[in-house]
Amino acid sequence: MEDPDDFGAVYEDNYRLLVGTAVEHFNISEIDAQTLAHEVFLAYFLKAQEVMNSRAWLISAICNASKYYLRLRSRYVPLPSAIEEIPDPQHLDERLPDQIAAREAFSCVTARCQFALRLRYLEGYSVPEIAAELNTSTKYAQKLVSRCLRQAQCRYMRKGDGDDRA
Amino acid sequence: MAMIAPEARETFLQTIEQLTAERHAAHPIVEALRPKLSGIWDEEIPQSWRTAGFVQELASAASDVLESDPRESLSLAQLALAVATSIPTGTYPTPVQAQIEGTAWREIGTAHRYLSEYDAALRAYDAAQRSFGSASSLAHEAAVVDFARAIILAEERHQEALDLLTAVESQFRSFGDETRVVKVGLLRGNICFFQGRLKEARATYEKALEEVSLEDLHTRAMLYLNLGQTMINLGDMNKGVLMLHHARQLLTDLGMSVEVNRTEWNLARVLVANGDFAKASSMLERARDFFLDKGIPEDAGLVGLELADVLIATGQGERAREIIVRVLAEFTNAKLNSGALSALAYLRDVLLTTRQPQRAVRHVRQYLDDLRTEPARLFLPPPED
Repeated sequence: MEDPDDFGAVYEDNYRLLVGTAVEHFNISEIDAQTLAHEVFLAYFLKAQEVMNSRAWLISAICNASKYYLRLRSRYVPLPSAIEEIPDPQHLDERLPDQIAAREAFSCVTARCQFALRLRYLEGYSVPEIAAELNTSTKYAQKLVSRCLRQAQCRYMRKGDGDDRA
Repeated sequence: MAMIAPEARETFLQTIEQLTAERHAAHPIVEALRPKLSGIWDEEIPQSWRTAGFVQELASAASDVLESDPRESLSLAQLALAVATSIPTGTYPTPVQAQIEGTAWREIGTAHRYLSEYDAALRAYDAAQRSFGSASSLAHEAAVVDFARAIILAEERHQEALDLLTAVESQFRSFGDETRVVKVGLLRGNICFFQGRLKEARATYEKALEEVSLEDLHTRAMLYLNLGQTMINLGDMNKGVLMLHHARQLLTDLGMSVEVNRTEWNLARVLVANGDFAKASSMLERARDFFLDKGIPEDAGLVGLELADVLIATGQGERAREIIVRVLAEFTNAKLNSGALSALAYLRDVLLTTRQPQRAVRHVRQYLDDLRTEPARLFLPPPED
């Protein structure tokens, strides 16, 4: 296994190689290649203790990251000019604030409620699935979710009032 | 030649320093809260815990106790996910948040798998994949989750498992992850075993044993265990028992008490086959108590049936029936497969009247074994009854 304390050396030894791989083999711009390389190093840092061969791991990771980046880019198609101005209700810009608000609301409650609300509203678990996850009855899981939702609404509103006063 | 943009490098190194400091700060807190874990759930998560380092420490603790106490592992991993959820959006770069949430989900899935809660495990692995799939740099993590899914699918959906293994093996090779390449071989052997292709299973395990690294004691132990079981099923008792002893030694050294008890269970089966009922009975009782203590009712129940078989063989029919009644209650409490409950209820009743109790126990035991690979199978009593 690699020694995670050697991270600085691994970074210095491989940074240029990773950026160069993304630029030369995948035609990715220098700036984007640097971002990808840093993302790969972050992933490596968080699991360095498991990695047997750092160079092989990093090269494979940058190749996968570059392919992922190119796949993502290829999905962006310019909109026809006729519909460019029509707002899309499902656009990420509109959904994102809801998701952020949901996470903020969940952060005001107990750990058990955080978990239950996450399962229900962020992961889409059904109530019986939540019951299985929590090793409890469906009836209790249903009550828990309802109680936690009330708790989140109540505390989030209070927090909002507090923020307004501040 | 690429130049390092100073500001990007600076930001990156700051994140690394922050993550390192958070993990150091979290370590003693996580150690201290483990004995009082159940009380944490009804508190609001303290602000100082809401860090990626804290989530990593919890996930790491979950992984450490997985073998010895999967229920505690599950609780730690679930808490890790709750803490990850409480981290304000934008605190970390997207891949960090994706990685800590995916890791928490993966540990949840693995703990469920150890507890034989396979549907919950697959749901958790799906959630882990969603997290890892949201960042470009987490392909290895995604392959690790696919491998974990294959472990579950291997028991009944053999072709799906084999297809997944082909995909993840090439990923592991490209990442230089030879340890997991050998684990893929181990799982392929298991699939051959489940399909009844015992000679092929034996050859696959033996090949993997040649390739396993000297440092990877866990995989080596599991290969000994599975190879031993396969050899015994092929009638090569002496070599099989030797392999099981090797496995037990390594697993004991590794502190993997769940697997140590599974090995004991296998050794007890050999003793039963050789007619050494007294020794087998005490080994089975120990293993059953252990599985009950660790909240693994399915294995505890299966051991209970083996024990009932031994008790009937030694003329202790009433005690055998008492055990069946207890196993039925444990399966009912754990909400296990309804077919298993019907089979056990049948056994409880038939033991009062049948003149062939051992035959009835073995029939139900075989049915429960088959349920592991065919959960929809209906229970039918043996034809003559």
